[in-house]
Amino acid sequence: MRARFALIALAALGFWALADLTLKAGPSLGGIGQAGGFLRRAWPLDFPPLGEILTQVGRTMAVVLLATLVSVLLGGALAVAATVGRRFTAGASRVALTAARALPDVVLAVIFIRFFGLGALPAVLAMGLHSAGMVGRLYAAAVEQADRGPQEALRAVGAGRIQTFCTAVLPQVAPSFLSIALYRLDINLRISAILGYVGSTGIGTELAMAFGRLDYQRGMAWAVVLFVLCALTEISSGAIRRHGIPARLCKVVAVGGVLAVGWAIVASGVLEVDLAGNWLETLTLFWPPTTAGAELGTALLTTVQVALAATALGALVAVPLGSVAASNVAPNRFVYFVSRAVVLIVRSIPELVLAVLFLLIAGPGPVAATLALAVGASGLLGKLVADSTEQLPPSPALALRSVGASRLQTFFGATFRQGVPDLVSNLLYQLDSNLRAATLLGIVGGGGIGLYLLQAMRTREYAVVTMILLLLFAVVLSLELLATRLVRRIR
Amino acid sequence: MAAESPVVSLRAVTKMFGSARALDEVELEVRRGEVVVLLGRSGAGKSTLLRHVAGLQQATSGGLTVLGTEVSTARERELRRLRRRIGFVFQGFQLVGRLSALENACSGALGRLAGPRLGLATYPRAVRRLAAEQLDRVGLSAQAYQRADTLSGGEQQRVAIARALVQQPQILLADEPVAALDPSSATTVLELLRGIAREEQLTVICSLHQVAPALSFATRVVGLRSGRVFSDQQVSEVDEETLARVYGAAE
Ligand SMILES: Nc1ncnc2c1ncn2[C@@H]1O[C@H](COP(=O)(O)OP(=O)(O)OP(=O)(O)O)[C@@H](O)[C@H]1O
Ligand SMILES: [Mg+2]
Repeated sequence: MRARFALIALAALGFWALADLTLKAGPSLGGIGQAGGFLRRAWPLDFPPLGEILTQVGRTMAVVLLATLVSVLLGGALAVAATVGRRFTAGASRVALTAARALPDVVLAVIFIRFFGLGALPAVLAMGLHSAGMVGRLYAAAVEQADRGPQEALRAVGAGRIQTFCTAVLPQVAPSFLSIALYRLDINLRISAILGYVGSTGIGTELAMAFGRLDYQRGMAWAVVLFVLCALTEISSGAIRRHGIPARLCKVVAVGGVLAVGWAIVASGVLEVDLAGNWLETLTLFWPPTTAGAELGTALLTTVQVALAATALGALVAVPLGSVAASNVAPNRFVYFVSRAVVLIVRSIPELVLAVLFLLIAGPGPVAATLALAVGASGLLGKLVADSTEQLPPSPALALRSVGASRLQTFFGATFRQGVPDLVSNLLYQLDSNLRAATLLGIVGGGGIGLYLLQAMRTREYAVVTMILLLLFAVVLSLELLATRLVRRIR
Repeated sequence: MAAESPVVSLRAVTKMFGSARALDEVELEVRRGEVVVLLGRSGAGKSTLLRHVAGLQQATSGGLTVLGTEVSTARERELRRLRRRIGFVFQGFQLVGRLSALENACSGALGRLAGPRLGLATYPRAVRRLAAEQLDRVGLSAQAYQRADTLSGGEQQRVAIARALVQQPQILLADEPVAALDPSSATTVLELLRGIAREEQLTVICSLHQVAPALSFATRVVGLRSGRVFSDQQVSEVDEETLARVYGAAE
């Protein structure tokens, strides 16, 4: 009952936001007609020389690898402290993890750029800090789910907390730690592309520069490179996640990993730091926070609306698509494979590529951002819906089938209803992720608070950056607290 | 410590879980070399009593001295030092499934080693040798490098015993060590435990579900009922009637 109410409320909010956004966009939405023109200008794609592509791919991957490493080390340490530490340490670490999660990575990147100059380090730190919160939460959950038997046995042996963790917990959770890190690597790759817009290095920067000088042929070529890179990374990390690393290859992989990190440190150029003057002086630029007359509240509302509308639109596609992509609902194997394939392909298109496409087709503004995020959301949500539908206990559906209900009646009478709590929690997860993405897309041209962030950065109004940081932090944190409570209640 | 002072002594130990009384003013003294079997129905408090002796749970009230350490007032560090000297064998083995039998056995030495261990190679050579010896003693030297979760139940419990022996304990606690095993593995494990207890002159407290193996294993049988010591007899004095009442429904 509660779950259904939450679902209706989310849908209502989503469509209110959508209506409001399109209404405000009004006449400027005539851009759909530009689509043909844009395609003409982007064709044929103008790929840079292979050497240049490889250099940029290398830089991008190096930054992403280091950011993921930072998040694994920091998030891992906090997760261990949160699960095996004494009461105070554990509590403090949980707070730190939640705070890190709510830190908006792009705002952090802007701040770090002021301190360390343009380059790889700000991106590594910003993404690393934010993902540490994400990774840490998942790591802590994995530790909590580990079998407690061996832990008790080692406590009985007289082992200390850290000793017990290393011997009794780490071997159990190592596979899920690896798979979480790889999953985060995929996400960081997408984010790093967008950070290119605020002055990181790699493909995102090349893409931003090409579009900046209206060179659509080159810009779209970089978008294709990014898409292929994301797809390849996702396919290989997915394969490792599913099959694990065979024991006999562990040593090779470990050595390879260490070499890769060494290479990444050199290739990314994180060490080329340009310390911009006196840090204390720089700090005073950021304080006290101010809006400097900008309508940050309205902008923030737009960003939230984009996230809400994109989630609702995405769900509209994802619920039917994800349902038939679940093996226990799909009418036949053909539908199952086709819908699974669609979900997989849509999910592997990076948000930046979607955003660039929609911005060029529909013109800059929140509507384009909404559409881009909605497409992305339908992929991710579709997968989440399919996976959680497959996990549902089969008995209610079987009962309906046995009294002669049709396939459709069974779906609406049993499967869909059982799935509502899962759907709500997946929607909330998607909303959370869309809220972060909506901020990022604002920088690319999607309007909302991201636009002001870019402006503040250009005009060097760092006190406004601080204000934006605080506002986003507060919104993301409250959404997360709300979502956690709601999910706990409807379970 | 005087030679004849008890290794384990419980004085009016009470343990409350909420309003439920898991242990009710338990009085028990165990001397060096005794093999005590705890009998009692499910929920009688056997596991809880053993956990208290190992310092894994704290009593709500009462006094508990183990190997000269006053458990109820001990700090965590003292408790760790105490646990090091007490081996504990669990009903569900509680091995680290993804590690080899040998590494599981080595982990018994963690209490006397400083710092964490990652992998077999990080244990001192002497510990590895000791662990291999103990695996040999429980008849598993052929399976030393096999992953623990691929071993049979009886083999896993023998690895768990080897782990406890690597501790070189003075007391061995066992909580229904054979309840999860088939009858023939159960016999093997109990005979192994009895042999080791005799050779090492270990003090053993072991909870069991069945009376017959208890009588051939123990020197002394303690019956628990609803958290109280209901009967306490040397094995030569045990009579059927008392045991029947340990398990009986009515008072
Ligand atoms: N951690 C706990 N929290 C709450 N109650 C507990 C806890 N541990 C034990 N109890 C309760 O204390 C009582 C004694 O439990 P204990 O596990 O010691 O029994 P037992 O004799 O070992 O039983 P069994 O033969 O089933 O293992 C039971 O009523 C049990 O429900
Ligand atoms: Mg028990």
